[in-house]
Amino acid sequence: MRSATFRRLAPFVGVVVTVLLLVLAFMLGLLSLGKMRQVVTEEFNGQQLVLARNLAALLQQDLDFLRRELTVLNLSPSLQDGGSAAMVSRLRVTLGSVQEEELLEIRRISASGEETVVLDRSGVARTESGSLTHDPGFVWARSPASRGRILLSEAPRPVQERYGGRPLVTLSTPHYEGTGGQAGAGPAARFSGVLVFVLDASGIARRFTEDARSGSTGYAWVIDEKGTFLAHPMASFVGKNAFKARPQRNPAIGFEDINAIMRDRMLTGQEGTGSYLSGWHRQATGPIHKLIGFCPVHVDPDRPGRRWSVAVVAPVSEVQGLVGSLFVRQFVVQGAIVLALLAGGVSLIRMERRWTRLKKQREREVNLSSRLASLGMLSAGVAHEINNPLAIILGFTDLLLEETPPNTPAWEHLKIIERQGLACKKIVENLGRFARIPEQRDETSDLNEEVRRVLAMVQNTLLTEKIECRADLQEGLPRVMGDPQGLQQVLLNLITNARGAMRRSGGTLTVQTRRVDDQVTVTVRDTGHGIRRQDLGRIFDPFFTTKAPGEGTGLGLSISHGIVEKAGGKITVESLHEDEVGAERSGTAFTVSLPAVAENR
Amino acid sequence: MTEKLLILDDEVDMLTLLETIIRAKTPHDVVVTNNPLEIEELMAAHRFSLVISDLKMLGRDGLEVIDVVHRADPTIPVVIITAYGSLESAQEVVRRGAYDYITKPFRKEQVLITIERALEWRRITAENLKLRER
Repeated sequence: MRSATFRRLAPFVGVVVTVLLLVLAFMLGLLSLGKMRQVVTEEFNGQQLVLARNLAALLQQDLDFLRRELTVLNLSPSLQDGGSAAMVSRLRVTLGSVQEEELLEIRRISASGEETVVLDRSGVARTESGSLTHDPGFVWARSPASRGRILLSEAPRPVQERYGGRPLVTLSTPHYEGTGGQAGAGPAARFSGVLVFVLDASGIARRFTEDARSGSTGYAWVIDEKGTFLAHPMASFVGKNAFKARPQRNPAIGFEDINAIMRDRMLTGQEGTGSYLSGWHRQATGPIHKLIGFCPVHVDPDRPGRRWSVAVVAPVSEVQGLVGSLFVRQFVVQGAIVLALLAGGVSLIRMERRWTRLKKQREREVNLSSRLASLGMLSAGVAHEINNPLAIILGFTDLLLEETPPNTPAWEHLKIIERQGLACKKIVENLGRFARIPEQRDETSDLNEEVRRVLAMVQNTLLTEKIECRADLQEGLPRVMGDPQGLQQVLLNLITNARGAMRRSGGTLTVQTRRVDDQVTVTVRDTGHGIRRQDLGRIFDPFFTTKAPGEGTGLGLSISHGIVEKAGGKITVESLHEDEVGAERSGTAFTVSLPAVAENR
Repeated sequence: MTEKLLILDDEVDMLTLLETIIRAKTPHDVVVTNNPLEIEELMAAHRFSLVISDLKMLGRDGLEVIDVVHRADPTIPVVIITAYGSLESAQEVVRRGAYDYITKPFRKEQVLITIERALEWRRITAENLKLRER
């Protein structure tokens, strides 16, 4: 019973386990996808950081170059004589030798701070007057401590305005007279003014970041120490404060992440990587997760606080899309393999079960046949043994009956002995017949004819037992294997059983013949009490009976089974017992299928 | 005409029954034994017209009895008594030379008729033989 339950449950358990394993595999796959993404993302971001470092180094080199230019110019003897034509032409040489987008103009402020010679890209020098004595840059330059040093600071507002509000910075260095080629080394030197480079910070930043690419679409941007964009692919951002410009462009996004990165890390001079939610990437808009690598640019070696920061950013999708599509492909392949295995396994299991079922059925049949055969041999022996004493009993009874005057008590008693002895003989005959079923496979019968004969025989009995009899015979059936007497006996046995099942309250007996492929079947169906499920497997066993003792020998069905099997046919049974389905639906149907004989026989 | 019959059966009650039937219903004389190994001895001592034998006996079965009897005198008919249900063995004994068989349980009429027919057959066979010898 437990193993049967197990067998029934096994496929479901198998499916559940397989599904669980699949889900597990999928989850592990997702996990590993996540891990893979993380690894690749970190790797990618590491590359962005390297790129940012390179860009920062380039920017720093450029600023160093400009500082050197400034220093070299400052040492030029032509500058000793403020405002002279020689000085202007010297300035012009320097201006010409430096990229236009970087150095916008050179200023020479007089020692008093009242007068400034300006040479811009127009090539025409002019003199601006106005006191700069309180200008922080001039104050710094006049201090002896500043001698030989260079200050980087934001350009004065009027200058910025002249260049359309572009972020400009200045490099200023004090000029000392009489220092000759020694860069103001001698103590005798006298402060004679300030030399100033006005630089286009955005130009410098753009020059190096413009063509930087991270991945296929990632780009770089630069902010100064206040968070002002010095360079950004979005031209309108340049010169604007990053903290304000972003929300202006897309108010829907909080930019907390990037603001935190800029405030806490970029503007504090750290380098590193991170990710944030942006509202766009190049032309694409909408919430876009981005990866960022950033590195500071120390623009003023004397003041560590003065620094810019270069950032390299790329959308996460650029990395993860690639990883994702690889994984999707892997998943599909894995899934296909698993499904193929699963389908193969399922069909194997189904085939195996089908085969087992057939094998079992076959085994049951063989089992029953061999059981019947051995029982047949046993009963043949029993029949022989019983016949001997029976012959003696009946023989002497016969003799005594002759010697006894009829209708005396002794004669009556002898008659009873004879009757009971004959009953014994009948049982033994049945046993004998069961043991010795004729092997005449050649004999054929007209099944419909035999059905009609048997029905005619039992018709009256059925009527008295309130059993309605219906015959549903398909005409034109081929003849079947099996001798007529044998088939009659089979039909009679089945009908006798049906009668027994319907004895209590009558019912309907249906006998139906049909052609099914190369078989002819006859079904005997009753509406009686049915057979209990646990008895179904034993009904063909000899001596198995549910009838009261003395009413049946329990041989009817086993004899019938033997006859039908000898003819190359089969008996099957379907039954519903009234205790299981109720009296309205209960009943039994025995179907005998016999091989049809080829038409030409 | 009184004839002498030999009856063989290892069941003594069966012998008694057959002897009783034959003595009561026929004029014939009967010799019975439950030991089939005595046949030769008995046949030497008596002139039997008919042998009735059970098929299944200890020591010697009915088929051997047929051979033994016919070796001594081929004109003596042998009737074999066999249990109902072993029709095949009944047919076998006829093929092996038995005159007829009786299946158990039997009615006494069946036994009597078979005996008479067997004796009749023996008489005719014997006459034929005599005629041929002349």
